[in-house]
Amino acid sequence: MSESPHALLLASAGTGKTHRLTSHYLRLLFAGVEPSRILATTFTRKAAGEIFDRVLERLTNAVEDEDARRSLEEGVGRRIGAAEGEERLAGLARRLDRLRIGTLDAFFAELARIFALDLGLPPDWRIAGNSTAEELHAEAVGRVLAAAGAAERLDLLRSLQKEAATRSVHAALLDLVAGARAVHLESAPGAWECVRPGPALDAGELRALGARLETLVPPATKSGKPRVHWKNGLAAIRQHVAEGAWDDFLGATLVARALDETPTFDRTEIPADWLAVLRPLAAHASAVLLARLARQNAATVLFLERFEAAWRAIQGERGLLRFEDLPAALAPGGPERGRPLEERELDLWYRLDAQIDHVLLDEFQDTAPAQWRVLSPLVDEVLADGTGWRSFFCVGDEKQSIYGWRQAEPRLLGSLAARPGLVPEPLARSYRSSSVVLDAVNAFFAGAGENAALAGDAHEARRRAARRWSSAHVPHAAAKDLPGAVVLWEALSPAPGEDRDAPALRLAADRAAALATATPGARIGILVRQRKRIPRLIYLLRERGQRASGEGGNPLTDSAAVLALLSLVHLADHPADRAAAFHVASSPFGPAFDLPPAAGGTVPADRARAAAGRVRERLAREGYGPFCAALHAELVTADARFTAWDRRRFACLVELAHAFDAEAGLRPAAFADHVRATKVEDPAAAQVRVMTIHAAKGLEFDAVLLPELNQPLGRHRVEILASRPDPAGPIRAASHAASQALARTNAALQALAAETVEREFAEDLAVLYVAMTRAARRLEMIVHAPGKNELCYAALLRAAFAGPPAVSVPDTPATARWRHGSDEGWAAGLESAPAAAPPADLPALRLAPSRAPRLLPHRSPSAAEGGPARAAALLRPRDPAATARGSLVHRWLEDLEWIEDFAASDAELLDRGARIEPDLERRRAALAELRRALASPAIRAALARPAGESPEVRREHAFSLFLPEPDGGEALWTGAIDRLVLHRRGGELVAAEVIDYKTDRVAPAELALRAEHYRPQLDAYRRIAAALTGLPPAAIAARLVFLAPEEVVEV
Amino acid sequence: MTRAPHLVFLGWNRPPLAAAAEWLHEHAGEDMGGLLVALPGARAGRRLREILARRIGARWRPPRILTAGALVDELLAVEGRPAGRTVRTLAWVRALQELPGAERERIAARAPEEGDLAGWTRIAEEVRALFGEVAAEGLDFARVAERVARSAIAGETARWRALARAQTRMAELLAAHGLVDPHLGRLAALAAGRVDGTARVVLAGVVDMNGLLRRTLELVGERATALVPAPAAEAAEFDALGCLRPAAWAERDVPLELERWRVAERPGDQAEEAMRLLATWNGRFAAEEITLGVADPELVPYLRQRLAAAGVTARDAAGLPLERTRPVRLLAAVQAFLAGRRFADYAALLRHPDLEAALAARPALARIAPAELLDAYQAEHLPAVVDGRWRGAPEPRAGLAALHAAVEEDLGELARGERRALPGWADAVRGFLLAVYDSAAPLDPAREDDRVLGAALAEIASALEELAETPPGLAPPAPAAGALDVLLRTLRGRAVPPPVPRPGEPAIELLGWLELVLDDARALVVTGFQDGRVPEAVPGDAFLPDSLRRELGLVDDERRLARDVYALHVLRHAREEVAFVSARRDRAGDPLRPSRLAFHRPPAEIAARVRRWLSPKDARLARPPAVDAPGAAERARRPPAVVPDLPRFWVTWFRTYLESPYLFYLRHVLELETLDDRAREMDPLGFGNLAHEVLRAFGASEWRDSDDPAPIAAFLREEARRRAALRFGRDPLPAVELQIEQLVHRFGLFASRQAARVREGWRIAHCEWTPEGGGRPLPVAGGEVLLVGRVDRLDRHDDGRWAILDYKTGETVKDPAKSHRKEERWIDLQLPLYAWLAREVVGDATPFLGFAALGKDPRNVDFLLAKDWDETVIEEAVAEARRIVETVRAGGPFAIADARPREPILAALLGQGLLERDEDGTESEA
Ligand code: SF4
Repeated sequence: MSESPHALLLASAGTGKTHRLTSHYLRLLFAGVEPSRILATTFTRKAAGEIFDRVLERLTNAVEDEDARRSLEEGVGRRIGAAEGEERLAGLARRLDRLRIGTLDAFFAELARIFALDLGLPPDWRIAGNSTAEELHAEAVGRVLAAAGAAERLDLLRSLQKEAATRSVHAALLDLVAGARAVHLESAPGAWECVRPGPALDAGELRALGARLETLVPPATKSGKPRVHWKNGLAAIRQHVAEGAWDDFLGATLVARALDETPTFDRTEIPADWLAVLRPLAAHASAVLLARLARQNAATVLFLERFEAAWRAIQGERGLLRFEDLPAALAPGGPERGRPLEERELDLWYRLDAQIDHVLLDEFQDTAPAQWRVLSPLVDEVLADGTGWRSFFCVGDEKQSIYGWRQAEPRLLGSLAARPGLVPEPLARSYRSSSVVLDAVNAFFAGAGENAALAGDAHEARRRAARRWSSAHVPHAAAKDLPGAVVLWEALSPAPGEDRDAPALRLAADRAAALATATPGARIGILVRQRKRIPRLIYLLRERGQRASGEGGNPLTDSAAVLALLSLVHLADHPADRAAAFHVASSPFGPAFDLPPAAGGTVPADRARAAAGRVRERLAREGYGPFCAALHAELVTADARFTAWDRRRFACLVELAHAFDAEAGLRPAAFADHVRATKVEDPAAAQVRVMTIHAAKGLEFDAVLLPELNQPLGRHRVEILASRPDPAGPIRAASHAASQALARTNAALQALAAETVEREFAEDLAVLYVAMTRAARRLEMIVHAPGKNELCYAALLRAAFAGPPAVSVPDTPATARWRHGSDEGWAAGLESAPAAAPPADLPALRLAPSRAPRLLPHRSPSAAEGGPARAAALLRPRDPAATARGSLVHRWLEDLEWIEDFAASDAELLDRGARIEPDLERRRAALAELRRALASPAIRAALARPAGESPEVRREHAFSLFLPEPDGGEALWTGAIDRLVLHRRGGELVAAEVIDYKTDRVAPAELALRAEHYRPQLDAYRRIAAALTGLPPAAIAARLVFLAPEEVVEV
Repeated sequence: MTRAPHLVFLGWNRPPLAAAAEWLHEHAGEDMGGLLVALPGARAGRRLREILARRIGARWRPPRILTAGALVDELLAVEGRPAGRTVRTLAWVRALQELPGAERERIAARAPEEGDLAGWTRIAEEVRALFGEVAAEGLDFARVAERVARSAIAGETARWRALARAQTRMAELLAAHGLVDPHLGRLAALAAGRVDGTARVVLAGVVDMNGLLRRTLELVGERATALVPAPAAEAAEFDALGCLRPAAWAERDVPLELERWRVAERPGDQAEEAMRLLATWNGRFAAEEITLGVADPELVPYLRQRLAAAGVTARDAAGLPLERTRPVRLLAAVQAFLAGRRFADYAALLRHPDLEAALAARPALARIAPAELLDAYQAEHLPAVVDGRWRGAPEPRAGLAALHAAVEEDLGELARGERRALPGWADAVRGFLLAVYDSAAPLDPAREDDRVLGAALAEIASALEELAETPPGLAPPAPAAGALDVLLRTLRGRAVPPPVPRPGEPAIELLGWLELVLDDARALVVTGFQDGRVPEAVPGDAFLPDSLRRELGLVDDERRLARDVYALHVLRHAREEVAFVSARRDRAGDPLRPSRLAFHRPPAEIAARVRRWLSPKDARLARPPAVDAPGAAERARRPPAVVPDLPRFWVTWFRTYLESPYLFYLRHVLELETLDDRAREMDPLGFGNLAHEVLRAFGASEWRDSDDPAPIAAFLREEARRRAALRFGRDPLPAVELQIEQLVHRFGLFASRQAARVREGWRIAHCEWTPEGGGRPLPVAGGEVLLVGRVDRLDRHDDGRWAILDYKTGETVKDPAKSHRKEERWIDLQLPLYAWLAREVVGDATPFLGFAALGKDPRNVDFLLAKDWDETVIEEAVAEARRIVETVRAGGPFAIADARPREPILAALLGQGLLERDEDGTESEA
């Protein structure tokens, strides 16, 4: 490591960033760095797992293979002996626990755990699941509303909704949280006050202008009639002014043109007297609307501040956090505050158990400023270290920044590049894609700034983004010599009433099926923008006999069996839900729940109620897991109406249900919510995989199909405009969006809107870049014929690849607008399918017959008292004093063989009981009671030495022995018999007597009842004594000795 | 000074318990009375008892068998009455609260509110557990503070000092109530040398001890014998007490051959791999001779499933967590309800089957279906809390009141809303549980439900004892919900043991990693052999980083590793078969790492092992999914439509039909409705209904012909508020209150439009008008149907023209033409059909048709009239209606089309999202 120990890689797609990252990691290992001192983070657990695997794999390869060792030597920059490689691998494998390779979230969670109390978090916080979090957000909104006074909240609401009287309040506020919270959290104070309205006209001025508006006369045609555009325009404007409809006013073309520098309308200059009226009115309109917007912004801040407070309170109460709460929790106080750990004189390394010397950040473009604020002190520390020992390695690609909605800030990469000590190194040699694919990528992105579809004023901000992109574009070169082909298809136009993407989707399915059939070894990916397309495409592929798997997982609601189960569960919660009852009744589950098959009819209410009650009861008794498992076994696998797909998905449901049992409450509907909110990947992967472009990041395919390119761009997410001049700093200006017409009347707003559009368009380009660069050899992009004048990928691609005339292809309902590369041989080397082993069914399980069962029931006679228990008996409070008294008396009586010989003094006895009952007074009282009892004739008689052959007395006779159970098994009985007297005749055991002392105070009248209560216990003793002595039970007497009242009862 | 305990090396070629039993039998004979035998866990103790009882028979006088943890208490003479866990937690709460602010902040930067018992309890439990861990090593917070001070991190030292101060206070508080902290009591007894001087102790397999036990045993000395499951040749690797020397074991290799380690992909594959391993043994073992180790509890359901499929019961040794038992769930629901008396919590509580059954047993409630009643009430009245005031029609109101009274009665004192010292709540809880659970029939332990219920009630009873023993001075009086929270915390972590298999029922036990060493099954498969599980990782300790643990002698990474390396030796040697399974991914699909123990082998073997880890047999590719024939599921999913004879058609139905004939079939032919009780505000329908009611009243009021907006607005406002108060009460959900104000606001704008309309010469002629007989017969093929509808308004102009108006209260009301036709196709027939219906009033002239719009936007509050609609439009609409009626009466077909209802059940009935369905609705009709 002679040069700088740090590295900043700007790694285009497929250029081997993971290779470089693992090289750096391995270099550190070979330099003897402890793994616990290397932090390597990325954004998904999957990616972290891949880095982990790659590190291990490269070491292993090097150990097993000479060539691989050479290449590893190249990577780590020094020679490695064969033995050394082995040692390193062994050393690393033994310290797997120390590897800090993981997600940023996991690292933050670790920090938030070890500093929970120092950061004011609940000490035992957990991550809340999606459906819980939604519920808690709603709860927080409810609290904010409840806390405000009636007038205040109405005012707040009106301001938030720009004076509209919406019906939806709660839901609208939740939408506001979803849309604006992230921006709010990152905003500097005052950021939302960036929109400042100008002065409005007073009523008099307004009236005067209104009057002058009435006097304007539209220019006339040659024939003297007023020109129709002018006439209509003026009429509309007059109406808008009369109604105070200022946004319509500003939006009117005539007004917009009047505000132009050279005001012309309908090919005629707008007369000065018109301008003198329209321009001040426009200024007024702008002032009114901006004031409204400013109020909305202020109300947003006010509301969100309260929401945060409520949310924090809920977090504290429930101990629940979201991953997105962690950065703020770790760097509290927002973008401009101090370091809580330093304030508390705490040391991160101490609690982490290791100083992190090396920081490796993957996918840096996905880092959010809030995350960066937590990381940057660490990175600063590393970069400031002058010894050359510590290192910082960072890899990212602005072109692949597609997580803006998660607050990712790709510009952070640029600001890192500007730091001294970091020299950015662009990587543009692709180890993935064929030069044919890269040609298309280069052509499109290098030319993006000049793309004809971006011409015109409306696209200025987007053009800026595209120009930035093309000027930064480093042409990608192919590292491998792969064949390839790129096609831009033009699909048929959608049929009337048909979804506009339908033909493209069908074509994609056709193409994928054709490619898969022709080349069974090729991995094919169909990448879409909306998740909801996935089931559709899988359906279409199946129709073409092509198996496909959806990636990233769908909720299990893509199976009819699961849906029927969810309706059953919903019915359990809502017995009067006729739709759910009908659904269950008409499903194969119907008969099992005594819901008559609903042949067009509906389910009688009482049947539905009874079924609901039974399900609720079973869920509470068995749990969701066992309940679903039973249905799976009894109905889903058995009923021919369910498909193989149903069976597979229902099996996943059973597993989900088992896991849900840990958190289940009393509302079955919550389970349905949970299932709907949980994505479960189908574990069976297929040759053709369908997924979103976002899910495909990090993957590659031999052939990629992009069928959803006609979706309009730039329509999404622009509700909140924000500007963050310093990528690592706070948001300095933020506002709700405004109409274009309003934005142009206000410079701040206009700049804000332009910045937002530019940012979002850059991300749109990034999505397309990611999509195109997933392809190794073949890229097929499918567009359809032009329609309305919106911007979409299709328009951009058509403009970029306006090549030779379209070619129609036989048997394909489409024409190829552009082709590059060769269809022949693109798949060379991919022909053979991976040898798919035949489905391996589980072998049958054979077991030997039972020989010696373990862990049998363990029983004790004292637990048998009273026979089968009732709830009341189980819940009856114990009297601790009575328990202690009982223990004392038993302890003392242990020393009594025959009453005649019982000579222990009070002092001795009191001493013997000291550990049982520390309180001397209580001991005294117990002893007095014992003495009294022992003086009673009945008890004396029971404990007196009989005449004749002196029997053997065992006291506290402990036992553990097996007795048969009624069900044919055995149980181990353990306990102690208070007093067991063995009578012998001629040395031979002839009878025995079991005595059990009872210290509970019983009223004399209830003695018989009490004795009955103890009968099962004494019966057990009798059986045990029989087993101990070998005597028949009939020869064994059992007696209860009650000390208060002093009575002996034969049982 | 006594001599050290005897060490006996049992060898490890047999299960340790069998060897220990044999040793005990040989050395102690049949009478082991007076002996203390300690094992690492309770389960091992039970099993040892079985082995000895079987081996010796009835003559056996058993020793006391206990856990190593309990042994300390048996040997040390602790003075004073030890405080239970709950009491100690409360003492910590007080002690922490009483710390000076600056010190308290050292422990927790943000203190909970004074009255937030739950918040404080969370912190106190953390501290109590920490103290327990430190004290088990014979230390206290002050000693830790001293050690930490050496590390010179100011904040850490200050924190431990603050803890030490709290500890002192905690002890004082307990002492003031005649109690001692058992940890401190043990430390004191040890310091004073108060050790039982007579007991003979045998430790079986206790190879890892905490400091307290070590020091106690040192005092017991030669009266103790440690049975060490290891060959004598390993003696050097154990210390004088028979414990592992961590440094000696942590780096040792393990006897785990590569062929005994399998790597699977996901939890399900892992379970299948385990089943394959069991199958390879091919009947050599009986079920009870096999144990499945589950180092990762996440695998239990997967194993359970696979075993069940093979006809084998899985016996999960971990048992059923108490939180999942019915009575504890009931208490949790009561706690939630009492905490805020929220309606949602009430609705949940009343869905507890046990409470439901108890309520249903009351004759007065026999005919009441609580869930239905509450659902209907919620939908109509959107209640926030349950305050005993019920609204609406008398019949449901009476039912709700009776139900509520019964619940309150069952809750008894719990419901009274008072604050009490904690012990004062124990009887109230008992009373409530008895009201629910005390039935005539005793619990039958042979029935699994009853067994679990009985065990849960017994645990609750013991927790209630703890609650009852809380010194009243220790915690401020708490409301019932607070007391229940304390009670539920006490119950946390406890479990009901699993059922014992019936004789002859093949059952395989699932056992956690730590218990496996002393398990004596002949064959073993360990699943979940992952990093973080074996050895167990303690993620992110807030107080005790590993370096400090090591310094203090607490269990640290090295000790855990040593313990597990040793365990692996024992498992491998003492079992006839043993195998390990790891997986690459967890349930969520996230990557896992293998246990590093798999790599405790000579360096030359590691590459092959890593290779195994990296390339498991990919089950994903090995098992291609079956492809179903398209449409197979479709046939199952949709029952054939059977249309009853429908004599009447509502005008409003056609919109649904035009959206989706199948949805129409569900909604209007079958009259299916779906319910959800989670709305936090009025939905569009509820909002619209309220608006309609008010407007109907206006149409019948004296202001209907007024041309002055002010009184109209006033009337509408008052009427809206009056009706809202009737429906939602004085204190509605805040969102509902806002909605009402929004409606009033819209009414205000409407009033001016209405007044203007009157000035233009229009009068309300009829309001909520229906034709004579309710409808007008529409002749269709094969007969006629009655077309029925209710027209919101029939307005008449002074000049005799008519207008038919429908009130619309959606957020945005579209122009009538646009809301009736789209791209040349009908999407609604409402207004033209109204015109057709109203012919008897309106006569032959075509009336104006339109909406009285009350949208959210001020400009969307207006009269919107359809332009250019003439008689042909009406005729076309009637023809369309006729076509639809005829299709429906002919039994369909009812295509799904592109409807996307928001209600999940209807969406499900339409098959939305199903893989088998072509989402475009281009499916062929079955
Ligand atoms: S912009 Fe062009 S290509 Fe894109 S959707 Fe619209 S019409 Fe189609």
